[in-house]
Amino acid sequence: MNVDEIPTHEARSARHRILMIRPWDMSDGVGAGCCSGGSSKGLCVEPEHHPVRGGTRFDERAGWQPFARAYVALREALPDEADLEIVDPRNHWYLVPTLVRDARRRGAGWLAALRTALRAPAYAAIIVDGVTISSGELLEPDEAVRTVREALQHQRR
Amino acid sequence: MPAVAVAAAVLALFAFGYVYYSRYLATKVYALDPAFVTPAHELADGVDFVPTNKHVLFGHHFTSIAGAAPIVGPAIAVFWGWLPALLWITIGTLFAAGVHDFGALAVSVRHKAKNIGTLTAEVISARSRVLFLCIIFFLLTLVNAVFAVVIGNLFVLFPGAVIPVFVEIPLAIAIGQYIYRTRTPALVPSLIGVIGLYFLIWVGHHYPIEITGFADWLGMEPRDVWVVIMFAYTFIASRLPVWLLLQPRDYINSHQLFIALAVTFAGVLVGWDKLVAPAVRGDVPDDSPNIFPFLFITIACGAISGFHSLVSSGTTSKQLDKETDARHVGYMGALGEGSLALASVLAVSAGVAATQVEWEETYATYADASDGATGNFVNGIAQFASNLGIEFTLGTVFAAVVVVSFAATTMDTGVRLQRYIVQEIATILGWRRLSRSLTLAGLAAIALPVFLALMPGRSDAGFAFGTLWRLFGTTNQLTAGLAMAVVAVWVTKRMRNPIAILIPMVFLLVMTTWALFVQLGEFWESPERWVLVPLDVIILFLALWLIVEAAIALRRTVAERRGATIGGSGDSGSAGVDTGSGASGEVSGSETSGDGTA
Repeated sequence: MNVDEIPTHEARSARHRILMIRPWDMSDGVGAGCCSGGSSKGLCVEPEHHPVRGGTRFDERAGWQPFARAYVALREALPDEADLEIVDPRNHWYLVPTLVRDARRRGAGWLAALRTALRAPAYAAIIVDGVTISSGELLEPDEAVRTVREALQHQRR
Repeated sequence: MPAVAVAAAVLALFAFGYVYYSRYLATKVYALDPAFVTPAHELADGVDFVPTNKHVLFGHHFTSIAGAAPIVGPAIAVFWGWLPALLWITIGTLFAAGVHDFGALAVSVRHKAKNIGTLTAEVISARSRVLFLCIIFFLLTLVNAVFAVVIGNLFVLFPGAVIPVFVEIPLAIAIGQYIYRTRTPALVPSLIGVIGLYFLIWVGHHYPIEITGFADWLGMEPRDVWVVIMFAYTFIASRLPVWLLLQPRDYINSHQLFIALAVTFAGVLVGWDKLVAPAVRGDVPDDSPNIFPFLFITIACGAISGFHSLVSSGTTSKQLDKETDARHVGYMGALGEGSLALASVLAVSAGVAATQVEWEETYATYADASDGATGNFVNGIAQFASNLGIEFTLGTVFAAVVVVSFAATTMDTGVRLQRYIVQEIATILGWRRLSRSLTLAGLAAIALPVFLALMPGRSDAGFAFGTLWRLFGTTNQLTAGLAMAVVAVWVTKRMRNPIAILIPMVFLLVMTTWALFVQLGEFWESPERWVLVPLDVIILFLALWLIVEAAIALRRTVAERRGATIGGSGDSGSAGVDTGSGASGEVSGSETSGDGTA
């Protein structure tokens, strides 16, 4: 895909929202702390320490590739009206209201919406408009694209 | 004056700054372009480069930069009165921290999201990367030393905090393992973890752990025993995968951060506590450090923290969806940090004492102010909590656990990052064994902080916070100065007016250098602190080196800019220069253009 064709979040419609929950053991960063937080990525000065697509500067991040491949495949295959987001499972300040809103938008009651918000952000979950379509396992890229497409078609019906 | 009025005024100024000043920075100085294709899109890989909603990204960014440091500095600095501390926090946050955090993010996004260390080498000079690594090395050294002492002091002062802090470690691991193995959502287990932690606070309150007997048996001070324990713990913890201990504990702590902020501001609102500290203190003892320059390095984090540039350029810039989101994430992050510092000022000006006389006894000397800083903060927060019906002594354990948890996380991450720095320096120097051995690099990372935390004279009044804290502040301000030099050169090359960056940068470098000279004299004359002379000299050398490098780079850039203007291609603020097509020298070679190509 040409970079010119990549729509920004603002350019996309909010009609469909696809959330990919980053697996618990693949969270970025080393933790918080005013003078030590963030990630080791802020410290390196060697040019090769800025890996792009598959670079494995740090051993623990080599295992991220399956999740990353599914993300890249979805990103390249998705229609423009879908908003794709990777969210850390700890980010409840964003996840809970967003999932409640999405569930409410498709007609769920408040209690059901809250239950969705509490249960949905599991390991490697893919959530389309508040509906969890995959959870607990890392999907192959093709499977991820197929599953999301089916969910989007189902939503449109 | 009611503390709530002061809080409202400062928060209103923060809102004003966000609406107006950050807009000025975004449009006139950094010239953000909503159509610019950010590295998150250009290089999207699902690992580092991921376009992320600005609200999500703000959460990630803020929880990475928030910590214990903006609590300690203001708790010392109110020694000169609450008004100077609050003015520096407010002005610093609006005109220095906001400019710095936002600018580091903006410049990184225009350079394929490279971090500030790499950009230093590209924008200032190749040798500046060594300068960057040295400054960060000493920054992390002092962070680790100071926070070990913070924790040691708090465990001695508030022994009720020992059980919750130490039991939180297996609790966090258990919760992390549960979420990892069962692959369940994290919210409910984490809330159970927070409830468990508050139960432990209650247990700790009833069963305080004092180690005086054990320390006597070892022939050590109790605080020193805790310092050794903390370094042993962080050495081990830094070897573990981050998701096993650090992130679950950090996660529980992030809930604590919001609970502590809510308790503070709700307590202030309900209790209507008045500021009993003098606005400006005219009767400071003769041997106290002068407010100029020491206020401006005592409060580093909370007014401006150089470390934020590492987070902005290391992680956040790789996830920015639109260039214009940098304003929301970068500037707002600085405001969040300033709010923590505000809470600290309120706690030690309104919560810690009932009358001005009582406050002046607590803050009688600078040594009292610095040694008692964290304890005073804890007591102040406990007072605010008591306004909400929480028993005061239980509130002290609650607040102590908050500070210790943050300080411990800072140490955990600090030792881990210091190990990376040691390995990075060893790689440059060709020391392969050190660069490849985690054990050797880890030992090298904690050696100097352990020495500083346990060095002769450590028990003297005002040593840890009156001396080490100020050295830490200088290194943090130097990091900020370096990042702002990079941003200033970049802005100048883009034919924009860099004055908004140059003023805080020059101010910081003047204050830092001035403070280092004064401290050098103090250390030289003190028989027990002479060992700090080499450290001060090295940091002073780094400061002077930074000033020279920044001056050369800016002079060169201005000359290039004049040449470009005379040559007719330098239309002020032109889009041509903005996109890297003008005479922008070194930067243009790596600056990503508007169409996403280098």
